[in-house]
Amino acid sequence: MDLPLDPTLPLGGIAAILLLVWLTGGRRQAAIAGADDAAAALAAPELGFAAGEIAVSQDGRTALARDDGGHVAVVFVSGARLAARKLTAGETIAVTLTPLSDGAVRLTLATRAFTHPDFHLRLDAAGAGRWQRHLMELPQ
Amino acid sequence: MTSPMLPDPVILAIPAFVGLAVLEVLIARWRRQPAYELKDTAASLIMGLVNLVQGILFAGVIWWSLEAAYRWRLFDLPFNGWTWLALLFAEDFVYYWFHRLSHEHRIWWAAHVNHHSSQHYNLSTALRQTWTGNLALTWVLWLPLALVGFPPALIVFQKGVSLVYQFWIHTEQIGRLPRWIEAVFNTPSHHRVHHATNPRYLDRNYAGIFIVWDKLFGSFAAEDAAEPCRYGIVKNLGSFNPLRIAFHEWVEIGRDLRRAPNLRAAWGYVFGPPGWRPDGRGATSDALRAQWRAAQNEAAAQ
Repeated sequence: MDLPLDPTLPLGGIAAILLLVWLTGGRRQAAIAGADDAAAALAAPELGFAAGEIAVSQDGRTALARDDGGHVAVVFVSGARLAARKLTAGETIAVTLTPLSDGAVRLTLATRAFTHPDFHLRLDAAGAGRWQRHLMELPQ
Repeated sequence: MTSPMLPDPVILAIPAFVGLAVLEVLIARWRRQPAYELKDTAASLIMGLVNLVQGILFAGVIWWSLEAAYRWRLFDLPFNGWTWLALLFAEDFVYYWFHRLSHEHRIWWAAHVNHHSSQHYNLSTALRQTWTGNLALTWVLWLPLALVGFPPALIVFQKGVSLVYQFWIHTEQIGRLPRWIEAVFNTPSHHRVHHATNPRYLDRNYAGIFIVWDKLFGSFAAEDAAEPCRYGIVKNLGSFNPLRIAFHEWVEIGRDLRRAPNLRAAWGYVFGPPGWRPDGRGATSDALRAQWRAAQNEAAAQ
């Protein structure tokens, strides 16, 4: 069968580009170093979110923020970038807490989102309980 | 009359796509810019490869439809350079409206959103192309060109030329070009605006080759150095899985339809603007821009 395209060209091209990106530092990961990083990610006006209280997971991969109206947004690492998402009441499926051996607590947030539906935060026990309540009481 | 066949510009351009992307990776590295990310680039390139394959599979249906429309043509336009020149503008006009509809109505946004889903803006982003655009019948918009009398082979060729043109504008490595070029053509600067989520830039600069359509139809926004572009979509995916990138908005439409309280809501979820909600509180581009303007005005009044 005559193909309209020699597949070696695009496949070889893809391999060459990916190899070069890998060699030039394309595997780096972003991190949320503190509340300022999370606040900066949430400052984009299209998110419509004015962050007040912020909690950053001890692993630097996820953060939660709450505004004056009780809305909560999540900031998370997406490769080399940070992404942010405002949560709605109907979107949240479950918020569970799991005690860890070092005294910290893992908060797991499960949402209905099709992409990146679950978030995990490592927080101190008091903070985890407080954020669980915030997440269970999201306004519509 | 059967039109003579012309080469596919996209297939011919593949070596240039690869070469320019390699060059951009090296320039970005030299400038110490984090322009490329491995998983993001892999996702974009896989999206482009599958788009190429589905385009080949769909070519027969589109070709047959163009030929069928051409049999009912209004004029017998000759197969020559003047006709191609006229088609250069006519096809670009169609592209403008195709692109605008793809942003303003959710069913077509679902097919197009994957192209905007990267938080990076580089030449690999240009290749992050749709898998579902042909299924969403977007190609129907090109049939009137055949009805007018443009030969189908020229239409398909020009569609490819337009796609190839739009490759090089997906870069941050080129700043502003000379004023006359920026006035007439779609450029990296204009297209950066198009890929930005900043409210002032949302749903602007739909042009393919000529930016004049945006200026004519009120959708133009100039890049403002004081406001750097934030790339991606308002609700970023957080995924590099090509399947999720290709189908996420279709899945979300299905979910919204299941909970739609009535037919009006169902219609709005499918054909309304992205972000539309039945209660009128959806985060559509217009709503986000209005909120941003209100905040700007409030800040200026203080």
